[in-house]
Amino acid sequence: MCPISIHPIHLFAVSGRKCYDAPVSPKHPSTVDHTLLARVAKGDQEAFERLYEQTSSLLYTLVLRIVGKPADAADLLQEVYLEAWRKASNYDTARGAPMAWLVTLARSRAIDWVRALAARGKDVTASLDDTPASDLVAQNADALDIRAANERQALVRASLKSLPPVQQQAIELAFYEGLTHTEISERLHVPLGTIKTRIRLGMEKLRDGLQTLWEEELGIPN
Amino acid sequence: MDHEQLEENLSLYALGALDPDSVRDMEQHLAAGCPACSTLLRQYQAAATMLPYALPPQTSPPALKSRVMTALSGPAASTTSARADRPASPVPIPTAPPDLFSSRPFSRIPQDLPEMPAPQPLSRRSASPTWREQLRATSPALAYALEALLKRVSRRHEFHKWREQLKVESPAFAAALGVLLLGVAGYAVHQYNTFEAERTATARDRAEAAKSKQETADLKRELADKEAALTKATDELKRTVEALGTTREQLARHQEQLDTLRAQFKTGRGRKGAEVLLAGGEDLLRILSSPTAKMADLHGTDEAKDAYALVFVEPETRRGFFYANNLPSLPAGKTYQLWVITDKPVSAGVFSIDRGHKGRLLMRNIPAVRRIKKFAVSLEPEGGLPQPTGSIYLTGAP
Repeated sequence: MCPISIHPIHLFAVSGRKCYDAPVSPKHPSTVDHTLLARVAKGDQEAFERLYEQTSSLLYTLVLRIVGKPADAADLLQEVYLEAWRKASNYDTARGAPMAWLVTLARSRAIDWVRALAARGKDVTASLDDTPASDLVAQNADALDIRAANERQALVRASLKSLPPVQQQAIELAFYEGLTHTEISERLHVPLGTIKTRIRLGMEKLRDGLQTLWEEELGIPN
Repeated sequence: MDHEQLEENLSLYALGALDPDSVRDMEQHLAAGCPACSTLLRQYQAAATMLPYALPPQTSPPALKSRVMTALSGPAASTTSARADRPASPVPIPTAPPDLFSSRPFSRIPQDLPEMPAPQPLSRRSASPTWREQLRATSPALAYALEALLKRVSRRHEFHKWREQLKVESPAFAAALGVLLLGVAGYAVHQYNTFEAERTATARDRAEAAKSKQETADLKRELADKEAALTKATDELKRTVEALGTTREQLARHQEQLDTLRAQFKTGRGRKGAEVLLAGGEDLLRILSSPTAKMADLHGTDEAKDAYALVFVEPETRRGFFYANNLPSLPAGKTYQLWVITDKPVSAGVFSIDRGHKGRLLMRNIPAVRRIKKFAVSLEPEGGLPQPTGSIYLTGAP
């Protein structure tokens, strides 16, 4: 039976129409919600602060993985956030999840950075030892966020681990080093077609393995 | 590139691992509007952006937050007017920002746009190709004429003859001819350089055109998306309007029926209906006015094509009201029985019809009121039965 409603359309709903109960709450809370980004787009600094708190750890982890040096990562991340702040009003929710947008933004900037440094011939060797001890102290994140983050992390790790190492390697070279499949093929001395296949199969498996996560991110109802 | 290949490339594109040529093909395809690919792409993109979760988590420096928030209030970032594209960058962000709002995720486009060489300075240019080559490049006709002349000159006897002639006729003319030739060569070099500069400019224009073409493709894709959204919204609206129309019809019908009931009640005609109303007047009023009441529309089966009925159910009190019209007259010893069907049919009561072929039933303690999937009316032996046995006359779902 349809949910009870005062609205005549529901009251006289055409028979046979499928009706749902109240939406089932998702297993993992969404990382960044569209409404938060909408507030940021309107220039709400408080919302932006919340956005920062929700996303900075992941983005910092990502940027640090790409650029290698904590000081560089921090500078770069500052720019990424300022760009996000400036561009939030252009962000189109239909295009995808806010978190995906931020990850894409941070990744592009970090890869650009590394390329620019490489072009100038500077050393870009990663060094995690530079990380100051104070950085390792967890920031304010409530228990629910932590649990959700842990679940997400466990799932993504498991999905990556379930791939054959060569597929994982190809995907990581593309994602973190910004290499095209041609460049990967040259670097690994493996035929182009093989690299393409590795990436394709790996990505297919990841997509399937992470379905619950991306469905939630994309706002697809279960 | 055929569709299968494009689809195979989607995951690479989402990961940013496609070569620029293939990126262009892909973007053209997506801009042309391919819902299947767009959907798949979004899935791959979403999966790709999950990758950082697998990294050992690092915590961002606590001081960074205040730095960012302070920078936010700075002149470059704070006002909405300044937001658009003013980079306030103490950090060298190396390349033009890829368009992050397009569905192209990790694009390298801005970097891969060909760098056009700056026009070379004149001196360097004129040093390398010979003036003859340059002349050939600029003015083939003039070059041809000059070559022919030189060929003739170089042929010995002719040269002699020519030199003799020149000497004889005018040494001054020979000198003038030399100067003229040098002038022509110089002009040719100048022409060549101008031509080169123009060619470079054209190439730059072309690169710009390619970029704007790219932008157009982005816009087109955006437009296509908006159009799709609009179509969807329009469809939704159409459906709502249709539903509203149905609702209005039903409301009108109910109003009519209520009016009839009221009239019958007033005039005392249709005594049975009046009795029902009197007996359950309060109930009926409560049912019909309850905001939580639900209604089902029952339609006649082949047994009674003109028949229809309405059921109002009030789940809070588990009471309901049933009203049927145009049911066939009952054979002797038979009755109509109303069933509520959850997993199985359960009797909701029996009723007969009046001379106007109308039947009414006030229901109390309706079983499993929230799980009702269907209502049905069947013809049963007088007094009713625990399970339906006779033909079905009316059915309908809430």
